[in-house]
Amino acid sequence: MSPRLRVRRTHPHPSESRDRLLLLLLIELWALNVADLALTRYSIWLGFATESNGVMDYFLRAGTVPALAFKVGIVTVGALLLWRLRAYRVATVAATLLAGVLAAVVAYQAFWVTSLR
Amino acid sequence: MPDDLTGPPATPDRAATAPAAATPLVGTPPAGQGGARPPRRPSWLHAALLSFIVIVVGGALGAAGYRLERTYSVRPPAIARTSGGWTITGRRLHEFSGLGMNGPRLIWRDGASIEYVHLGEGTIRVLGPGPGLYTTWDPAIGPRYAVWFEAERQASVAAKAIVYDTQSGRRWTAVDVGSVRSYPAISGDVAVWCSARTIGVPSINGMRVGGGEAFDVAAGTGAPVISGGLVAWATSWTGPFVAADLAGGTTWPVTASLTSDRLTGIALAGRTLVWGQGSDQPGSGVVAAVSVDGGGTTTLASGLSGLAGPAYDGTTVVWAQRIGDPSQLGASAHPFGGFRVMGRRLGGGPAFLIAQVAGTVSEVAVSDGVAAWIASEGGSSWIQTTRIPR
Repeated sequence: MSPRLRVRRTHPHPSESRDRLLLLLLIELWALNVADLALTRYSIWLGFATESNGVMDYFLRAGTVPALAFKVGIVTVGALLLWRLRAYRVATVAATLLAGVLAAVVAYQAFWVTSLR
Repeated sequence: MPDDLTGPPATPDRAATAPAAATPLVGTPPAGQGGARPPRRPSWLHAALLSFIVIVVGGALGAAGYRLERTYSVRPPAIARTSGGWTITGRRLHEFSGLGMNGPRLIWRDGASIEYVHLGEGTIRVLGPGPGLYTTWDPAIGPRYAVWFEAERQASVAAKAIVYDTQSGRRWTAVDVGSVRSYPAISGDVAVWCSARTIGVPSINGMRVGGGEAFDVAAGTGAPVISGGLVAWATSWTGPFVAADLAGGTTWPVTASLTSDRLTGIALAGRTLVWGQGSDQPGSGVVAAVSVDGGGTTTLASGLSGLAGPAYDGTTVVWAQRIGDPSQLGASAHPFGGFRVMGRRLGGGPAFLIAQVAGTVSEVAVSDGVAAWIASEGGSSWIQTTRIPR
């Protein structure tokens, strides 16, 4: 086999300090996810927004509790998966990106909702 | 992402014996020191700091995105306090329209946007159009609710009446309007308008905003106004007027002395109907009032040019008129030019000046001793409010 076609394997690099950062990022991601749902639910209640995600719209129409269970559940599964892969640097990179993007979304929503009230 | 933020992990024994004050923040022993200083356990504080930075950077990007959208896409008007009230200046090239005022609540249309401000707060809120809708019609506002129509396009036969509750901050779709034939008017929690629910059959319709139920007021066409349980409208651009009592369900013609000119506006407060008529001819404008129960017409002002309004809040009639002959504007007749916003109390007394405006006034509103108007000049449009002199 040619060296160019060889698959590059990612090796685990366990690190206790990186684990701590990952754990905090996942907790923040989880909290931001709940904040995102709360702000979305409030915007819909105010009548100024609609949920464009069809799956989430289905659960929101079913009620706040089903929407919360689905959204929190799916993020919890994702967070546990990243935690299971914590020996790999890419898990921390992914958590960093996810937390950063969700923080941007929540901040945007918070400013927007504030402009309506 | 660094593998290790604070050096290699230490065994519990080593960590327990390491003096906290003497250990460096980054715990890898410097080369050549023989590893005399024991490595430190990874710091929670350091990890918390890094994760906090990630959240702060993300939040700052979200805030910047919001600010960019407001500045370059939404572009709400600028609002500034003046000595007598507020000035709201549009940032887009089209004119404001549909000015409505009730107490300190002011609402208007800005292109396709419905904008609202509570004059006690001075913060402009964009209320419409809602998601997926692109056309709005001029709004109306009462003591608690504002109402306007929204649709996908101007020629839609499926417009919806949207209600905004100024107390709770909620907006919702109240009823299907059909084909829009007039803007809405509101008094208390009753809104009325003219629309055709089925193609070609327009009628005066209404709804109770709180309950959400729609009802028919009367057959016919016109732009209705409402005060309490009384509705009035002109059956054509030149009149005559018809009144309807919502409680009794009765309808009757209102006897009034009208000219042959086009109506510039009608307003109803209590049982008094106020209207304006005028044409492009200088000096053709008239502002008059009549009781819907009958009696003589009272002429409040005549010989007006460029009449805009009138508006009436039960105490004061407000209108705007061009200063002098249009051909002499800006020349010797009136060095100021522009328009005058005038008022006259229906209880008695002469007409009085409220403000002079360096621009063209297209609409006026009045409520609780405050007058407001929409003016435009040289491509810019603004709303001005001022307290009416006592």
